[in-house]
Amino acid sequence: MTTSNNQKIDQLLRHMKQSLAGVHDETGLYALLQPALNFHGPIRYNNRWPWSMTLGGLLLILLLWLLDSGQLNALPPEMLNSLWWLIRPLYQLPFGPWSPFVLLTVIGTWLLLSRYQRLKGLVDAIWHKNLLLDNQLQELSCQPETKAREFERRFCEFNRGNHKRSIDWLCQGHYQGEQHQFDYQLFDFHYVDKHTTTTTDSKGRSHTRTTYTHYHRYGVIMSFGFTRDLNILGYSNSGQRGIKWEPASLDFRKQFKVLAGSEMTAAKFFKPAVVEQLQQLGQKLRKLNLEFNSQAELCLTVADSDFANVPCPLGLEDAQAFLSLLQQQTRLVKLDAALHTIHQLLVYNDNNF
Amino acid sequence: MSSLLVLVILLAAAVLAVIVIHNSIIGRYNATQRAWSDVIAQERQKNKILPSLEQVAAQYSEYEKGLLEKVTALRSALAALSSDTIDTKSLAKAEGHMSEVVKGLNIAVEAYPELKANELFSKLMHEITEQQENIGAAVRIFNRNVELFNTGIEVFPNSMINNMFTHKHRLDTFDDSEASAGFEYKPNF
Repeated sequence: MTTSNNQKIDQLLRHMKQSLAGVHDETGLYALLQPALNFHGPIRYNNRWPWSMTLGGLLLILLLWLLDSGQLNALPPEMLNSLWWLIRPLYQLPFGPWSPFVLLTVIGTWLLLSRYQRLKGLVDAIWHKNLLLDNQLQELSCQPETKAREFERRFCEFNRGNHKRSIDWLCQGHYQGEQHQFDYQLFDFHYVDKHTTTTTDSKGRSHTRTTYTHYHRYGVIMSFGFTRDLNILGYSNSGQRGIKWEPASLDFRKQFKVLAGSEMTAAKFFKPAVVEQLQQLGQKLRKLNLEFNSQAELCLTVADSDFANVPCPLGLEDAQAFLSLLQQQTRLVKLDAALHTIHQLLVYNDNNF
Repeated sequence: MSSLLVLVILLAAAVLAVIVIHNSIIGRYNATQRAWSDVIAQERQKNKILPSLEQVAAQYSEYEKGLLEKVTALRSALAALSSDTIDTKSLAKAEGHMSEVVKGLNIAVEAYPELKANELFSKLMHEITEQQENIGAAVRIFNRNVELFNTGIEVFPNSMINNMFTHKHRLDTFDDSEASAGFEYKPNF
């Protein structure tokens, strides 16, 4: 009965995963959950066996260690002899007496993790699709490293990470404001810094240790049109150049460093309302950078992981609650704030009068 | 010898601290003055809309004869503004004329609803809104700079250094009630 239930869950997850690829609208997404709603009982694996294997394996490893280290010598000699008689064949094994218990633990843990991952992976994929639909975004396929190189040719912002650079996720969106509308690309830029440190111990032996630090920057790229060669940096400089410029606001000076192609470019761009808008956005987002390149394109990047994604608060255990959650509109609030500010920057710089 | 060295280091640190604090007060003062200049610069941006205002006024002068005179008065008031000297009376005068012009435009719209559909008029109103937003933002930035400057001269040990070397006095912010009264504010730089 238990095995059968786990198999049914496996089948259900496989079926939903296959159907998810064909979902293109909210109705399709809600229909995807129908088999989960019809499922008898909670969508939860029965993990009694994997848990037993893991814990049993760990207990036996502990017992073997206690016996080996003589910690159980206080036991009655008859019992101790019986235990030794029982475990003696294990010492004939080619990989040592621990190997079967380690294997048992590893298999149990692998089963637990793979089931957890299967369920969570599907929930995350459905939630991701829901976010795309709720925010009118369309996922674009790209070669992560190639795309990062392409972006790097256009913006200094992507000149980060000495080991690896990739665009892990890319999608297309459209913003419709009161006075301007624009298309934008939303991305997750992943870069890795590699550090190698060599230390020498007291005996003169040197040790080399390599560490990899992973970073993510999220942002949007769009065609701005009204200004070029201007960098507004709330985070570290990654090769942006220009004349240092400071607007009158002391708060703005604390938040951002401005590098402009010319003082005229900066003076024209930084109207008081623009300064205020950027200050407010800088308070909402972490490590905000804006780079206007020589083609008048804008690249806005931040460090907030919820800029392009919001973690799913529920799982598939309660399919009805999960469906209700999907039916609500989940906006990417920080993305909306950034797009609104970009729109205001367009309004204050359009000079269409 | 070592105590003398410590004394010299302490003295050097004290002198350095005085220089840093003095410079920071001057920096904030200059930033506040610049913020005020931005308010004036935004005010003078109104010159951009004058030709369009005159065009609209001329179109409807048959009915709104006063509007053209108001635009002319605004032009003269803006010409009297100087970015070198802080003359809030002239600024208040310009703002007064501006509100008269806006009132005149509103009256014209009420009398002639087709004016709303006029592209030039719509652009004009949009520009006026944008200019007022920029003036509002410039005033808020100025006020915040004044606040930071005042804090910078009043906290210890800055107050001591200001009394001894920098000699700057507290500035007044431009509050909303004064703004609604039409730029009666006089910055005491």
